[in-house]
Amino acid sequence: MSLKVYFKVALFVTVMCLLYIHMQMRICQLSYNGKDQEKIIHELNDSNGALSHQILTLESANNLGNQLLDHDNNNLQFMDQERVMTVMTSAAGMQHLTKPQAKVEGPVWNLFSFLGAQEAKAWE
Amino acid sequence: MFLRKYPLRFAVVSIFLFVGFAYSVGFLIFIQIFRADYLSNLAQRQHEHSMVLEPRRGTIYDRNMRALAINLPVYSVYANARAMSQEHDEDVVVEKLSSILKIDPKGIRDKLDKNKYFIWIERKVPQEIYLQIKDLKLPGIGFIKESKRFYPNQSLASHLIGFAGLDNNGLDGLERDYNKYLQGQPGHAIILRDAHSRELMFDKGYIAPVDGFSVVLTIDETIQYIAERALDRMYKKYNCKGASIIVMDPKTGEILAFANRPTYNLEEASKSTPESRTDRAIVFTFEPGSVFKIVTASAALQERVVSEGSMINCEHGAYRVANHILHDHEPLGTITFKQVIEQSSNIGTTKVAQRLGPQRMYNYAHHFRFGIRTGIDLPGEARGILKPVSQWSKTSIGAIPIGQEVTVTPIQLMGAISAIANDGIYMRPFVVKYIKDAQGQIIFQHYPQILDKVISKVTAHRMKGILKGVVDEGTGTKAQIPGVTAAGKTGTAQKVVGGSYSHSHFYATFAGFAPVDNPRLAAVVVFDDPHPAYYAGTVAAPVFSEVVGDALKYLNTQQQPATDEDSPG
Repeated sequence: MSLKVYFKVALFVTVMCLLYIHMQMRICQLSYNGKDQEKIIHELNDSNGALSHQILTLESANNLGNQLLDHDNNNLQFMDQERVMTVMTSAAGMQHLTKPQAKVEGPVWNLFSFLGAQEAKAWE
Repeated sequence: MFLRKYPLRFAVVSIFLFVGFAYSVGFLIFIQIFRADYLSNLAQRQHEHSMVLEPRRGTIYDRNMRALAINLPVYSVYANARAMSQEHDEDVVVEKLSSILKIDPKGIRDKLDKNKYFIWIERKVPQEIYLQIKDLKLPGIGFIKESKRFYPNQSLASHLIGFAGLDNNGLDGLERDYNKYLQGQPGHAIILRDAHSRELMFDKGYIAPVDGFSVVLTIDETIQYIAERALDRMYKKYNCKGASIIVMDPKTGEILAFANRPTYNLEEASKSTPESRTDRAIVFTFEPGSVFKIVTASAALQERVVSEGSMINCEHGAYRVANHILHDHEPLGTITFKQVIEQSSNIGTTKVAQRLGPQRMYNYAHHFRFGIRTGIDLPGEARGILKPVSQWSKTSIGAIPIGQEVTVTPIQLMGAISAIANDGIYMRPFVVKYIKDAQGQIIFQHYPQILDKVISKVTAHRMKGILKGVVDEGTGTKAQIPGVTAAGKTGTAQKVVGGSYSHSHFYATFAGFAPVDNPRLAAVVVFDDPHPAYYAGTVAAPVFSEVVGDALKYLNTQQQPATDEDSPG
């Protein structure tokens, strides 16, 4: 092997080794970055847990009951069905309420159709 | 040229180098052959960190998927006493930790004086406490992330839910009974560390933890609250020793509310007493008294021994059965059978039972599952006592039909009254609706199960009429619900004290259902030793009225589908 070839091979091997080491260092660096991100996720998860606990406690029947119903001199009670009024807040809801009942079509029913209210039909 | 000039030096250097090289090669061979395992293990231990990955314990939900028990992440505080380099460090740690954790400084110092690498200071501290301690950056103080069981409703349904210990193992109630479903399976991972023990993301041999399954109950959180609130008020007002309430859907056997007094806070279970943890609704047996007359009346109607209008002479309050004189709470003359039940006459009921005979009386009581378990999916259910006819004395026919010489549990009474409400069909009561995994796949489901047909539909309908009379104009008028028809039976039973019936200690019971035509809810309310008032009509019936009345209103609002989203369009 000539000295020239030897140096070429040595140079190639050295470059490859440096490349390998560089990649390993990058992998380590990325894993450190990943760990930092994971730490942030853990912290967010922790605060999510704490907030979940507070929300669950606040919205629990026990808490709501104690806060709302068991106060002195309050008149809160479960509502009766007859006191419930349905309020439609959209046009679709109003249409649903005001929509006439579907007519029963059929030869037998048509015999008795004079019993129902008649309405004028528009020509197509 | 140099070699020739200094051959000796050259030889010495060569020999030195050769020996050094030979030693190195020899040492490497020695390490490779004889020390390889030891050293590779050492390196592995330094760089690899084996971790057990804790699974998330399953959540317990009510029927509307509202969490009753849930695991959330928390931190535990530990100390490494050897990492505290100076006496000053220890003093600071003790002072700060004792003030934040509100624990005795001496206790912390004693722990630190053990001079160990790892000592628990406080397990599972709240988030704000953890953050306070973390911000102080105390020397030798570290944190380990764990998960803790939370019970948002505190004492609500405590006897049913039970509690889990520090290691997340169920110790009582459903937490214990369904532990194998709830606990999940731990995972495992090996994490690589650098020279500074910082964890890298590389892991090998990763086995993911399997989270526990979630248990969905038949309990409705709101009805449970309504029941507990009403029960608690009367329990305190009448200074009772104990109390129980069960609310059930009689058509399916689904338990909607289930509560006992005394009770305990699930968040502070370690401070509870065994008595407060007793699940009276299924383990507490007592003589039911007049509420047992529903069995006698059902049997008499089914066997056509009497009809509602049959006239029965109640002997003006005194009637001899064998060597025992039977009394009514107020003297009654000749009245109809319906009035006998409405007025809860012991004498009238006994006379009807005498016509029925012991064997038929026993058969019906047995069919109503007295003396045997209802089969509710909770462990430890008591059977109560229903003596076979061969063990009856001559006075038994004057005792068992009116609820003496027989012991029952509140859940057995619930089963019986529900069977009447459900046209004579006895449904198995249950509290666990289904179990699902983290992906929502149903693992196990309870379906309504018919256990027996105890009386015919016609007889059940007639019994509903009689029990409606009890509420409308009998002993249970305080069980009336405005705007809803209700039916039920009161029972004021003397307690046995020192071997004889006491005249100052009672059980007050009410078992009923509503609405009468289409029963949606059945409820049983039991008070142990109420005083000064002790009549079931005064103590237990109002609780039924309040709970079932409010629960029906609540259920009606739950069935309001009219929203814009539902509208076509």
